[in-house]
Amino acid sequence: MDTFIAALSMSMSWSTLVASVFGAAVGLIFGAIPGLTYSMALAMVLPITFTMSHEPAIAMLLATYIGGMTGGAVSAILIGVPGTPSAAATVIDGEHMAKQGKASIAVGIATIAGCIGGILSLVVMMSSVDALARVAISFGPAEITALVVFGLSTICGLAGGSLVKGLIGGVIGLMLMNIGQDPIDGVPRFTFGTTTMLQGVDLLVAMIGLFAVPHVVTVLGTYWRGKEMRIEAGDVRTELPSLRLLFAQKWNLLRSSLIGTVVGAIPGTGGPIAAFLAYDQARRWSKHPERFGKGEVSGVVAPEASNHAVTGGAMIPLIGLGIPGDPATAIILGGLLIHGIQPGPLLFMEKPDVIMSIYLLFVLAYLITAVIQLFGVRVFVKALRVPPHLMALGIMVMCVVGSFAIRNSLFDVGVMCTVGFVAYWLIKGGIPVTPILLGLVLGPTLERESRTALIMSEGSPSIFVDSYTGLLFWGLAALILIGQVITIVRSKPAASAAGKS
Amino acid sequence: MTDRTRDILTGSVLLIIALVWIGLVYGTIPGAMGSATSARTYPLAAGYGLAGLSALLIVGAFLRTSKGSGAKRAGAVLDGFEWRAIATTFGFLAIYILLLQYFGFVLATVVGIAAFLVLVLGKRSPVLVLGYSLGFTFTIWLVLGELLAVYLPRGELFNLF
Repeated sequence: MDTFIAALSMSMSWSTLVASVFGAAVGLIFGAIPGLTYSMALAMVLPITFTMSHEPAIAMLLATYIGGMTGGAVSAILIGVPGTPSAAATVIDGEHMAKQGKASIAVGIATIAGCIGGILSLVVMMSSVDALARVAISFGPAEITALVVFGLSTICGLAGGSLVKGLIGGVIGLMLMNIGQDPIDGVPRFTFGTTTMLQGVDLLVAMIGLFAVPHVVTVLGTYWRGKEMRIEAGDVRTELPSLRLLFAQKWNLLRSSLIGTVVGAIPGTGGPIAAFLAYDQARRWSKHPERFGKGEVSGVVAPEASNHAVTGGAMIPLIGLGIPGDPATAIILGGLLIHGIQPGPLLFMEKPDVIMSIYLLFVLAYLITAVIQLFGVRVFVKALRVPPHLMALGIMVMCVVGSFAIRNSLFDVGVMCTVGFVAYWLIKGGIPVTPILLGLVLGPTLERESRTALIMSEGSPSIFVDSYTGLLFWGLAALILIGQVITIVRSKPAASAAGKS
Repeated sequence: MTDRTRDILTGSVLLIIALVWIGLVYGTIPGAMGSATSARTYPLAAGYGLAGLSALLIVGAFLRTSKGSGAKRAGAVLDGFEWRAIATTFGFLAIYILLLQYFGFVLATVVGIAAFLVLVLGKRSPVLVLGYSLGFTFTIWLVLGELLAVYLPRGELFNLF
């Protein structure tokens, strides 16, 4: 109790509050703009924290991290372009909700679900940081490969009407990420002797092209046909999700938060994998899986709760062992070290009040981010009143700025346009976009980890099934694939009978 | 265009892409002798995967009866408006990238937005054209470029701010 009171007095001051508000606002802006990442936001605020005492510094870093994660959902829902890779799964139902005039409730429930997911992950972190950190760190390249394959198996559920087309999308995503330097040997691939191609296709750049460019073409086409859909001012209300709606999502929230926490605790994985896994599980456990992809609330709740829970999960190896799992937590670790805090088991014994204050600042960051986001719902949804063809022009400019800002390269802007062009024709050819995105997100991890595993085993593939964890994920992936094939085989006679009748 | 025709067309184009891709992998990416994997492994697997799946798509489309489910219309038609949208989107992006390279973010964005509003969307209101082009550019420049220190493109020939 003394530790808690000491931590509370350290954490709850005007300086930590101001630092949290500033960090959350910066994170939200960076998260909401496609192309700008929360890692960039963290890199930007880190020097500002140098002169601060350690509580406001930690508060600012955590709020930026959490704000960035939350902001990604805003653009995913309102303009159908995910602000961060973690929000990619939110687009699937969030965009449809916005088109149905439920933008404010979609943003509202995404915020609340994210906040609940984040705080639940904190509870898991507090109760099991030591044990979970040791389990998570035992994940080697072979186990991560199995986890990624399990993640890729969600293509089966996201493929829509045709499994073959879904798999084609996944393979195209993998192919795009093969361009550039190979991650293990540094061999140039498809660079055609140019140095600019060596940097390859950045995930965010590809994601912007994939979602934004086809959207702009469709909006302009609809405008010239005279069929532009305008959302009237009266249609846009500030509406928060009711308690009943939230209560109906309790199992979805709990399941998604657990998935996010566990995935987040494994270094080198992260939000996109967690969000897609949670989305797929939500669809599988739902009484109405047919509503998914058409504006289903659970389809927004699951990815948002899960990707926010990743923040708590990522803190487990960071705080428990001093190991960052991704660039964002690496920057936070840098900030902690600069302020004389060395995360690891010793910190728990020597400075329990600091650990407790980190937990409290984590909760504070979530609450402040949620408040800013919820007050901002009204402002955000007003963006929908702008005629879509005028907004399309702004989206094009923002996509160019975002693509350029990632690596300060106009080459990336060209890549974004090319990916957009290819994506447009693929969509016209009936290839679903989401599997392409899964291929983009998971492809590099799959190649890097599986090749590292094979190098470790001197070429023996048995390394992939050596551990129970690996076997578990391979088994789950196989179950999903077999389940999907059975569903297709069963649905064919029913479909043909319906056609005949 | 029916579902069946679309699938045959999509499958054929993707099959050609996959074969070219496989050729490029063999021709440009070296394999590693005696090693289980190399820089070539994944691109090659992806190429063969795409070729196999495209072939499956074509075969599946041919097996469908022309009067059955294959005769369904495949989404919206590519009409003149859609072609116009494709041309203007990619035309604007190409010109905007060139303008950014030579004149930097501020000038390129003001000119690009104003030109798109007047020439492409046919807007004539000076308030809209000037307000949108100047207001949007200034907001992005101020919030991203100045306050949040995001690097905006600088022109090689001329740069405003």
